Amino acid sequence: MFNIMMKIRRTPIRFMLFVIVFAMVAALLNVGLNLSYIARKNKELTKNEYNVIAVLQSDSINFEKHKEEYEILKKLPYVSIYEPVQITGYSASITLSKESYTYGFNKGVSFDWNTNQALMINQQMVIIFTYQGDEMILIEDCLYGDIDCKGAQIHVDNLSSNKIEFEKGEKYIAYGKIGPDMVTTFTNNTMQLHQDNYFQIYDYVPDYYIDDSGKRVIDNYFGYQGIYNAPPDVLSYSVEQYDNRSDYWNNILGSLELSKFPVTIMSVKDVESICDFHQEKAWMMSGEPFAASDYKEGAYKCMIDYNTAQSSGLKVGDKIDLILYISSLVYSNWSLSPTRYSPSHPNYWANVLGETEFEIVGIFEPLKNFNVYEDSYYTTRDQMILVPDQTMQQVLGRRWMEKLRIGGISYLSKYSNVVIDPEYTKEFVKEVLPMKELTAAVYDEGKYSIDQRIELYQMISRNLLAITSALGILAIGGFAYFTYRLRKKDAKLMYLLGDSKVKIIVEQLILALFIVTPASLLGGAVSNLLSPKIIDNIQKFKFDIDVYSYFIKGNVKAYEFDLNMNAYMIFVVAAVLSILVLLSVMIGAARLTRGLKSGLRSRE
Amino acid sequence: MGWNMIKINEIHYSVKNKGKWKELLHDVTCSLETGKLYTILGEPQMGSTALMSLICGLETPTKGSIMVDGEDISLGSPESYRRDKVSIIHDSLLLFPHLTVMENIKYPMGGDHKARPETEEKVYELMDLVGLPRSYAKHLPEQLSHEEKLRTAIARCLVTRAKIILVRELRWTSPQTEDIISLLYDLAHGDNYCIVVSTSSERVAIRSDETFEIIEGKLTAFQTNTLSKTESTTETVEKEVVQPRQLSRDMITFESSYIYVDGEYRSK
Repeated sequence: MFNIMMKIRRTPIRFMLFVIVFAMVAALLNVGLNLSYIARKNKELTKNEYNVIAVLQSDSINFEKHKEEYEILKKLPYVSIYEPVQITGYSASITLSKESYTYGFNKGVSFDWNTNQALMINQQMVIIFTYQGDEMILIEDCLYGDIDCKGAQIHVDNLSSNKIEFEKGEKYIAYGKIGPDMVTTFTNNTMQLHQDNYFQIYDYVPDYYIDDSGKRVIDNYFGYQGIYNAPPDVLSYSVEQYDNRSDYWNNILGSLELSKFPVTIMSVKDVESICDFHQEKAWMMSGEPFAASDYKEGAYKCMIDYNTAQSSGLKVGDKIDLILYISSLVYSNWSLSPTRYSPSHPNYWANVLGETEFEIVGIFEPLKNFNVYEDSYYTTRDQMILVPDQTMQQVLGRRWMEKLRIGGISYLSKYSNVVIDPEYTKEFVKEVLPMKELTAAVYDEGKYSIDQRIELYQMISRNLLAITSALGILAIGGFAYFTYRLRKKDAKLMYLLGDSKVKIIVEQLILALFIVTPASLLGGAVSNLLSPKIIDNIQKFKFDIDVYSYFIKGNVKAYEFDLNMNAYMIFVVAAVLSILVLLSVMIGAARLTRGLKSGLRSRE
Repeated sequence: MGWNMIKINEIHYSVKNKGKWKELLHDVTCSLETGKLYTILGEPQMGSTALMSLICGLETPTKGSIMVDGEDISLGSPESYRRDKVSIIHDSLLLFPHLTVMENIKYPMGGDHKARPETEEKVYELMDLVGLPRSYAKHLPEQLSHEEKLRTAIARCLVTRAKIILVRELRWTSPQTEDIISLLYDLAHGDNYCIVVSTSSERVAIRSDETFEIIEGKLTAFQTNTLSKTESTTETVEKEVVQPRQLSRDMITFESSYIYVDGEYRSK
């Protein structure tokens, strides 16, 4: 023991280096194990909840096909066209193998600007079956049971190849999505996309014709929509939760009903440049427009429309709290009147991105006869609050700005659903609805394509793992080498002076324990503290990619594989490192015992 | 006159090298007495190191026996033999790097003795004996010269009861090595130790009472050195150089590296 204590005392730096190397290995192993455990647990939970019988097959958007148009589009300014349109619906069919039962359904969405009814596009089909006797009963077909079908058909690949044995009394669930084909049925292209809580690709692809000179002339735009399914954690909902008559959804609806005062926020770079003011379709009632410094500094000031000010009892100089509130559906106009507000769709995802206080500097009044069809998307209207663009960027952060832009919120009033000061709503959101944010990396500019994102993700993962592995292996190699060199010399001298082999090995083991024990504790403790953060970040980032890959690959197996990929890769790296440590220890021990004599016998 | 401390009786020793057995020692017989300094001269691969390994108890002879103090060393525990009967110094493995001079010297004494005040006093006396300043007691080996490390290792040998000191592969590293050899000589003659040194340098053998070399596996007495053992070895190198028939490569190297000027060796 004296020998060991002296060794540690006299070589503290080397000792600490050994401890750090082992601590790193322990930490890595711990994170890997945690990741692996969580991934497996989630998978099991999902599996136990339902039997997934099928995932509807649907082709992803064919970027190659429209590459040329897409290139043209990219050179154009942001395109957004508003015309009255009846959006047709979708349909899907699922063929269940047993008894060749086929269930098809049609749903649709409708939208009418004149009546200010919400535009709704269903991004999700959920079909829950059960068997009662020999009869298959549909429990729930989708979340939007009250939408009228308008009839356009999409035929989704059937599932006849999946041989599934249904058991009586069991719940089954199938997931489907509407494919991009749907949007080709639009005669006059406009879709105002829903805001789901994840992401979607919404590209306007110009339609063109070739004129007499052979030149391409853009004629029209088709909105190509990549709509991605609800997040996989929806899977953990019970059947009851899917029922929009259930307490679960009633609670949500009840809470939403409390949000009586949503208005539209429009971020502006220069109020006076808004054509409405030029054309005298809007004018200041009191106060002043933003000063130049307000735009520059991102002042927390706002201009509010006269109606809102009246109904809310607000005047210039008052302060109001704004909270961004995003739903998975876009409601074109939210009425200020509680009686008109009726959120009828339970699939409501919300995010509160912080509550911010704004000072009212001016009150404006837009033209009463606001015409939504007018060929100007940058316009004022009732129930609108203007804030400096810079301010809004500060409040929301770039990623949310991007998110909303990608989401295809019409005209520049990107923040369409803003609730003024509903404390209870905020609480409700926290408690009831899951809140998710995308990482900034996902929203890097120019990285919106699926392939690019996956590539980016894979590149980051691989680089990270490669660096970790290289460092780990380097550290362990160095550790093993020096340990071998140093230990062997010490041990040989001990042997030479008559110490027994048992004593030497025990002493070396105790020394190893002195290193490994604190290192393991340190590594374990640190990684336990960091694990949730690491895992959370990895999974959050991964999650976004999963949603893509899920639909690209179109099957659950692929999804499961992706979900576990990180965990397994990290686990494998950790395992390899651990094995290397073990090997180095074993080789060290073997060489130690053999080398005791051979080193001394030396060069014969 | 000492008594026969080590008796080597007709030992043979072979090693396997690349699948072939090679006999390093063939029918070696000799007796080593206390009160004498012996040198086994030769390159390690010629068998000198093998013979030392056998005497150290690290290896067992293929045939024959080694009697130490009247007992066959192969019958007892090699560890206790190395602990109690012999003290070993290995030129490239002298000290524990993480222990001080004091702790290194005390190492063979075992747990309880290390902490006693009288033990420390004994160590100081031994340091005086081997020519180490007492102030070096707290020094780590890295602060010492090679010669001082050798002195520390010798002091560590003296702390035990063993009357045999085996010095393996002693190298001539500097003129100060001669002081070490003198120290060993004095210990053998003054304190009646049996000291065996293996080396590949003839210069180390200058003060030996007897020098052996191994030729074709057989231990033979080395051609008597014409250098007088009683003569001061600090005389000029030129004096040695004039007798080239006895110079080995070591000595030529030595001659070419140092000159003796104004009573001391200086590097060229």
